[in-house]
Amino acid sequence: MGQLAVKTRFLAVLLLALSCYLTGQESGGPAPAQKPQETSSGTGEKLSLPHQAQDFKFGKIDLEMLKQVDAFDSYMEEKGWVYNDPETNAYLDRLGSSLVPAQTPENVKWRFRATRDLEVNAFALPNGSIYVNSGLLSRMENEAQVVGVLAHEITHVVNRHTYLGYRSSRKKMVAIDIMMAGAKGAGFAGGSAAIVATAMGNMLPLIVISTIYGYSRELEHEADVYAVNALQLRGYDLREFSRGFELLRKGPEVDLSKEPVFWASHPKLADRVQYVAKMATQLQPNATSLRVGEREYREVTQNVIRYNAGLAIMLGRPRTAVAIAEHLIAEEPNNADNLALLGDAYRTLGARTPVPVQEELTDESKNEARKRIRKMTMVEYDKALLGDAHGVERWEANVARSEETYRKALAMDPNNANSHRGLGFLYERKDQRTTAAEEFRKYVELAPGAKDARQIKLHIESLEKAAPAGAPAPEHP
Amino acid sequence: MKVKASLVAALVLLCSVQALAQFEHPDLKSGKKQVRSLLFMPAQVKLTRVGMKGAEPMMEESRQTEIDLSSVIANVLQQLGYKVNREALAPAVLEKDSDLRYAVDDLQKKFDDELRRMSRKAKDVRKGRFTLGDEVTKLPAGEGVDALLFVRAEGQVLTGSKKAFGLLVAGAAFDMAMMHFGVVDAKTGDILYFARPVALRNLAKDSEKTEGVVKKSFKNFAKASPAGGDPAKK
Repeated sequence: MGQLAVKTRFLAVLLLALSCYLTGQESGGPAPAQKPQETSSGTGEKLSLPHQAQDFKFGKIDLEMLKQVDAFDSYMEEKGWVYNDPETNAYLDRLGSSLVPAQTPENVKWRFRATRDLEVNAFALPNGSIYVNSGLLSRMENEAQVVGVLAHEITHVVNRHTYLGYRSSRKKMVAIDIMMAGAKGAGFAGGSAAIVATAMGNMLPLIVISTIYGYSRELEHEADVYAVNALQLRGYDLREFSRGFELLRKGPEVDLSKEPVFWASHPKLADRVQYVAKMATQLQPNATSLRVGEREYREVTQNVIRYNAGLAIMLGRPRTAVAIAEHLIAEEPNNADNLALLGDAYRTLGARTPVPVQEELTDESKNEARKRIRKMTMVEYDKALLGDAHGVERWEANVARSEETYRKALAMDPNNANSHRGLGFLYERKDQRTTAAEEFRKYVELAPGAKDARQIKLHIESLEKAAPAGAPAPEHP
Repeated sequence: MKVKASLVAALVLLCSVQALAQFEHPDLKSGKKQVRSLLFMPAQVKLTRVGMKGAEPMMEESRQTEIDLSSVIANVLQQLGYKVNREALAPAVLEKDSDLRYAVDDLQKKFDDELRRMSRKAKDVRKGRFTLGDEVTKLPAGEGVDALLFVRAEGQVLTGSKKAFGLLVAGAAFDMAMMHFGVVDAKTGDILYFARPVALRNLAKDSEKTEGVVKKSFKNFAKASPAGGDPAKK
């Protein structure tokens, strides 16, 4: 799901920007924002259904879209994009259910689930399915921050933003098509006209664009105001909603995206941090005994956060994995599994520093990185980094850190299987074949039913064969 | 009479359903690696209906096409003598096992990642450049087979008015589907074979008519790694 090509994203955002510009202030567009109510915090009271939801009448187009959306929901489950951890999803469901209006809007069935996705994002389908990516759950610090996200997404559903946006864009399509045809007829312009026309013909469904890249400024503001209201009713600290936006602004990786997804869209985030912080000061001037929910959040989301770190390692984002593992260790320093995870993250850093250095953040470096990632395979990219200035030094430092971390984990728990596995890969990479094979064998003995047992056994076979010294070892996470 | 280049190109395309170039790994071509059996990874098809009011996803049709197209491809490969395992990762199996779904999805993501690069420089498949890595061995069902088969298809289905409009302004006026077939070594993850045929048809309606295109797409594969094996290559 979250795997759109950069070019497609650019075209999608171009389209959305065009449709938002054309939408303007026409009626049927964004409803007036709800004024936050001055009730006492933590009442447990539910918000009533706003008039947009009550007055909305489903047309043929809306019902067709609903059908597609329902099909997409099952598709997400089928394809393995939904993270089926009962504890995490029950938690999200409990939080989400406490935020929804008392009356369920027509054609909405509320479902709150996590997805297996590194992107720091959440999205809502108009049928009431709300998805929070594992990437976002890993970035947030406490319950109040996640509740803000959920409340925001709930508003998009309740106020029918997707349906309204879709109706609006469909009206524009014909006009734009004719405009494009006109431009073509005038001079067979090709060039930029042809690119936009192609985008029109091949565009992504609006539901995906809107939910992932954002609605109009007014609709997003409306959703934020509802979220503030809902958080206040539940007694949450509103400053955490603002803090959540701050956390989204900067991650552990160099941000190479030209068009960031909505929840990480920087110019919009800066505004939102400000106005939400202002609302928090106004509504909760004497902020005491407000809910934050840090401890429970950490306990319940450990699995998904650890899972996200593993995903980051597999998908070539080791810095994300380092950041997550370090956080987990800070929470639970005597957990050998967390240390093994950090060891894996250091090992897969290759020639990268754990945290981006200043030189990497220049436009020139980012362009160079984008070019490399576009053209090179992961193996080639890692080799190229080794060839950069100080590449070998950095690699050696990461290997040393990795080995030290695994040894620490084994000192705590000699039977920590993941540490033996990690050391196996480490020594294999250093061409220490005998030691590598020993470590892999220990792993297989300790975890015979592991999902990668077959992979590791093949490694043992290959190491035990008489490979010439200095032969390149395979690159593995 | 001035003949517009785009019209000529359109006519050429109209007249042919193309199986574009096919690319083999050097080890496959030399016979060092041989494929007799394949595990069918769940196909991924994305069809879009394009009309005057924009594009809409065809979710149900896409999912049905995944089934239909997979049948066509499996039949072609079986006719060529290969063993094709479609059951191990059938929807009914995946539905019951979320860990297996994740493992499949992880490999599908890796393939898509590699596909982006292969599409830019498909010729490099002939240099053995692309691989999913030995993470492929995490798939239990891959143990008894030589290779994994990945299938992708993206198609657009134009409404009548859109076709008419396209003809009028020399724009897109045909239903079209672009497919990608990747054969991946089940032990090493190396991309052994890559083909990217194009079909000028509505895949949702006419999947079975793609048999000819699919057969052409595996022509070089069958030559490089015949199902019965080539003793001369051992």
